[in-house]
Amino acid sequence: MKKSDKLLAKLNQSLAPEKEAPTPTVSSPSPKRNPRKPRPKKPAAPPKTTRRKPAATAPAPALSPIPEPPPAASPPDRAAQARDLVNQHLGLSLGAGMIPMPIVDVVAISGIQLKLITELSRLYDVPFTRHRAQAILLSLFAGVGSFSLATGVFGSLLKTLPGAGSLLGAATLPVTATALTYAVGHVFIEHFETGGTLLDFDTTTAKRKFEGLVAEGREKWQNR
Amino acid sequence: MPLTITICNGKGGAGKTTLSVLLATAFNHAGHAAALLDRDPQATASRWLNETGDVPVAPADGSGDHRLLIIDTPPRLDSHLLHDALSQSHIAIIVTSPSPADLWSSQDTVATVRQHLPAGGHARLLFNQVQARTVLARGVDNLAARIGLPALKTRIGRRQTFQHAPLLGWSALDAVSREELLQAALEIASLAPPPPASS
Repeated sequence: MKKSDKLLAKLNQSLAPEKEAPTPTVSSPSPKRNPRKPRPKKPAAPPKTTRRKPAATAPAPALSPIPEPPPAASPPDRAAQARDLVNQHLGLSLGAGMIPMPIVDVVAISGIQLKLITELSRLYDVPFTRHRAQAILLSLFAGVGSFSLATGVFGSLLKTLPGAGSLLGAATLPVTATALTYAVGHVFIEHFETGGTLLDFDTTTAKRKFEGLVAEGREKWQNR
Repeated sequence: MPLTITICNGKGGAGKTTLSVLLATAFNHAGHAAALLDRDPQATASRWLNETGDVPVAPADGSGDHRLLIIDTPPRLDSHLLHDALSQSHIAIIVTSPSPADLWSSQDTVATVRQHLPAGGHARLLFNQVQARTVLARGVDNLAARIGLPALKTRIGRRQTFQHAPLLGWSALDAVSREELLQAALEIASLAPPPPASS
């Protein structure tokens, strides 16, 4: 057995499946070895090969029931779930937009949008490659007309893209970050809803829709 | 009543105070007004927020107008401060690192949480200080079931920027750290419906 496997097996064993509630005491130094009854040596504990075991296999003796994971969405619900995902990520990008440093802004914004695309891909069961998603994001952002982004810009990324708009104050940044996430989310929802994948994403048509969605997003969050 | 989240572990050093402050900050940045209630007599969180002012500190009686209340607790399972905090919480988060000592302690903490968290409350493990590509990080996947609570999917890494945060606050954090915290905050918030927004 590899040393590391041995270590993990020992760790697993040391965590008994059921522990009695600790009796409240004044703090005392814990004895070197566990004073409770010695654990019986389990014959060949089944190796835990599955990576993600469903949680809470130990019976919960009391109170809080662990909520079941939601059932897989049927197609009519999926679009609604997808919109929920976008809304959740809008909150994230609004927060990230508060970062004053341009380079950090860019990474944070794209990270959130990448995460959004990852989760939408998962929801629609579409194969996801980070490389492809990043390429699509870059081309979408590059394509947005300088007018849409002129009043709110995200620093270094735009500087490196051809035809980028001018760099303006950070005051309008949070709105743009949210508008971009909104636009990314809805462009992808539409693409995935019509059966598209990351590989057949047509950026030329998408860019036009994207620009409209960014403007729409900015309208919605201008006063937030 | 604000959505109340208790951060606990019977053992010190797992990252309760660090994550209490940083998660509260993350919630604020994500648009959910959060305050921190410092129930640890060590008062590290209070000192931290005195230094940086990132998050409002809730008064001792927990009153105030915020949607979320995060309670930092002492590293003592027998403390009534911990028990009281749990009994008024909707969510309990046991912070643990992948180290065996913290894991043993978190298992003991599960029992205390079950004793005091009201019925209908949600409890989760949050793996903190996880270093990628280490043996213990690899083992983390199987440990939640062993310990007896489901774990949040987000894991917080061991980052130097978290060490800088008590001095510089949120601005000490790089983008990756912030995203990690924002994701954890989002995951926690999705456990229970937030209270209706105050007008």
